[in-house]
Amino acid sequence: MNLDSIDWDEDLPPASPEEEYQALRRAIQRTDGFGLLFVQCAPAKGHEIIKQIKEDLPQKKVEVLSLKEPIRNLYERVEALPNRNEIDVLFIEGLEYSIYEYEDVKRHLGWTTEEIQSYSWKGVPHILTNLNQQRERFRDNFQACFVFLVPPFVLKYVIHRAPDFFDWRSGAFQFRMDADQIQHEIQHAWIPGDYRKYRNLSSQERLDKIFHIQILIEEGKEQPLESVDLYAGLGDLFAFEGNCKASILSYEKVLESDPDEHNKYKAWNNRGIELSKLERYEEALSSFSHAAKIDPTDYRIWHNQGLILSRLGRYKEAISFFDEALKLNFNNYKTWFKRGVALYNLGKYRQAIKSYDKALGLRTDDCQIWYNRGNSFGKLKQYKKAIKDYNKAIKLKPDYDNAWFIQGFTWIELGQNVKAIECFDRVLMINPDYYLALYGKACLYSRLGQSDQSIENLQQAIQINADECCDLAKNDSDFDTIRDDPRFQTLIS
Amino acid sequence: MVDEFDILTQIFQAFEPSKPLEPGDPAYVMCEDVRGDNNILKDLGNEIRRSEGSTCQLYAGHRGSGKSTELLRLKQYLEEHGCFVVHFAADAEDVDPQDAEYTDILLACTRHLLEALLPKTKADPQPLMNWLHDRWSSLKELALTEVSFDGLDVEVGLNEFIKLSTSIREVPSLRQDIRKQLNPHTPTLLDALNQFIIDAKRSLPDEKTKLVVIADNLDRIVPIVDDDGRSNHDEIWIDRSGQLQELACHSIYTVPISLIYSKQVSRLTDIYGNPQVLPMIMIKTESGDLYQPGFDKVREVVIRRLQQLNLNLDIETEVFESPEVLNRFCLMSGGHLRELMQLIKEASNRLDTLPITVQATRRAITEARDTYRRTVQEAEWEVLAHVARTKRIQNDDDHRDLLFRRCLMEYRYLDSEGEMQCWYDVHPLIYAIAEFKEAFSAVQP
Repeated sequence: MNLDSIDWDEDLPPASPEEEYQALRRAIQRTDGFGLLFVQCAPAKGHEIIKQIKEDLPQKKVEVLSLKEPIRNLYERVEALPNRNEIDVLFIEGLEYSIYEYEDVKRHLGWTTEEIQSYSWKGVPHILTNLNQQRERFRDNFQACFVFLVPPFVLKYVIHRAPDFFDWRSGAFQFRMDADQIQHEIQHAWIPGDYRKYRNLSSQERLDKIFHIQILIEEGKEQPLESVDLYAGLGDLFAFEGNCKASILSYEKVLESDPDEHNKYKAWNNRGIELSKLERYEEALSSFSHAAKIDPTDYRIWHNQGLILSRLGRYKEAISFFDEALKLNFNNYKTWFKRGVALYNLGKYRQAIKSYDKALGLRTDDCQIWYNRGNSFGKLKQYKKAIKDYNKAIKLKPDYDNAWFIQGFTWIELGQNVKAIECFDRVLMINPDYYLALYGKACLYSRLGQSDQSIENLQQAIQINADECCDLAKNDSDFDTIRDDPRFQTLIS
Repeated sequence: MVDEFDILTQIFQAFEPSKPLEPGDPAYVMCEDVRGDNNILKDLGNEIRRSEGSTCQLYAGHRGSGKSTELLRLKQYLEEHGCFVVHFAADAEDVDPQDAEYTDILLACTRHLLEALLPKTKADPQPLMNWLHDRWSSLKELALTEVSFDGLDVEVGLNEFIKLSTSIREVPSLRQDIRKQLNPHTPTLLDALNQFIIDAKRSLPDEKTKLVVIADNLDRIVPIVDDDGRSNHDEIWIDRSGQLQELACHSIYTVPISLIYSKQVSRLTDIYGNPQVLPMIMIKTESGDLYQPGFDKVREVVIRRLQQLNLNLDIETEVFESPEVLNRFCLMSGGHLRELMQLIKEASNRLDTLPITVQATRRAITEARDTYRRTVQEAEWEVLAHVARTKRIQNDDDHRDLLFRRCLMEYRYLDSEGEMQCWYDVHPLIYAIAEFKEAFSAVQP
């Protein structure tokens, strides 16, 4: 006998849906008593199949168990069905709800296109272990043909995690979608790129969509499929789900397929945003610059790069990027604001103020801008102007402790000690642990010659942060009046 | 047309993969000489018959290789030879394979022994009731029981043991608490149980002289490795082996196949002697030639099942399109009987009339092959390719896992000197998968 007959080793091309259906029908028809079948198909196809089976096999009592949320114990559900002893065929759909709710599956979905290297035994969806354990009970107590309708991901999962159960199957059937069907699904399931819609979905709905896309990608594997939209959609969905890593991978998949300019641009840009969330700044910069090459007219890309450079302390470069952004859109107050911050960090206070002016000309309700401009005035010793700005900031945000604090110090510069103490008290009302306010009060009381009050506040400050306050106090001229006081000496030692 | 359809239905039902055969079923085929002379009656059974003391033996085999069928045969054999056999499937009600520890197994044994022996013997369950009574207050705290139990009512006590045992499985949240309460007391439970057993042995029914416990389905216990790298398998079968063996009657535990291939196998052998493994039926030799005796056995399995249907058809030309079709099923099964069943069922699903054609067979093979393709992960093709070349495996997690999933198969035979030889091969269906072929050609012969 010829053992190496090539004929036999050649796989047949995939069965047509009609052929597959007929095989399924025969299997159901011929099952007497317990049977176990797995059918991999999209939900719509599943319903079609159920309908068809009911028509073709009128002599069998067909029931459907639709799971709509995660369950742990299928046996109990089946047991609870009315007239279960009369059921010949039981279709079960929605097994996936019990699986993808599971933690590690969420993570798995994050690596969608990467095959996870090892399925570890820790943490298996309870439903699967339940199936595996209970299979004898199913066989012995339910004389029905169980037909599980599942998406591709689930079938794979079952093979790995409930192998004893899967092993008992009398058949497994696959209904793949053709290219047209998949395209149809894509068009009608959601609008690719309309990320605003995703933002408004609940987390569960987003996971649903992610799952849905997974299936389509899996289905489309053997066909020339436009998967760009799918991956782009995944990227956006993951971004909203806070899964930066998965989002980045998805966008990279988009880029791998060399898409059109628009998609390429989106992918580079979004990848950049997600990378910066992970603090992978260099990579983010590179991503943004790729995007900028494609569309140099989008001011946001320049702005984003400026932000990252600021964060990296490269203020000069940051400013030139902000300038580019402003060239394209001089009405973006955020850019003016961040440009101001960069200038401030370079010590260029006048220019910073000019930048803040522009920002405030566009938006007056952002307390941070007022605060920052106030600081710039302070650096230029224009204290009255500074205080005005701090007041504006505080009006917008009454519990803005920093603003109260700096204002306090500014009053000191103006010689208004009482007003200063009032400010520090306000700070401490908002945040009792604000040790610098206590320290500030200590300074003031020392200046006013009230050594008891001074020591008391200094003591409280040191209690909260000994290192910093002691260091400051050692060299602070404000404490000269009490430097010889033995209590002071002990405190700062 | 109707007749033939009906026949296909009969064939479909005859090859049901989920039912072990009852002992004495004429469809049973003795395969010992092609499974490395594995004869459960001889190997496990005689050990029990010969020993005066209590034996403790392990039994393993691939999923779907026919273990349960064999154990049922053993049960019957032992019963015919003076043994009272308590056989139970541990995972039906007592043990959760996803999270199993030694205590669970001991409780399961206690419960089943009580259930089986109380009605049939005059054994005094008092020691067990006392033990239970002593645990009562802590159990009450766990809200496991609202019953008041003064230690005298045996029926209540039995029910409570049952409840205890099933709670471990049914209520995962209580599991750890129950175990914590009971773990320190397992030695005393064992003592009490042994007292009960010894007493039972004095009054076994039907003049039986030996007591045997068979705990089946422990092979389904999933290995769970903790942060220190110890697995629950180690805990159950190695760390607690002393206690497992202390049972005052003969015991047979099924174990996961992966345990046999673990790093611990030498310790296992020290403790229990050679564990019994039910290998695949050998249909090819190590060098790749057909092994006629094994091959014929597999054919016989199919033929016997068909003969029982009294079809009045020639099997090789009217049921199967040609002899080569039947042979192809046997070859592609790799000597694994359940797979054989599934392949034939799959093929019959594709047809409304006999015979089972080449086309239908190819379809069945294609589908089965696809399932294996999905089972194997990216990095494992290389591992498989190496095994295919060398016919040897290594004792590591990768190989164990592949054995567990039946991508790798174990075969045994007695060589010319009567020595047991053991070798491994990749599942025949995998050989033609593109990814495997690629990896295979890349591996140096």
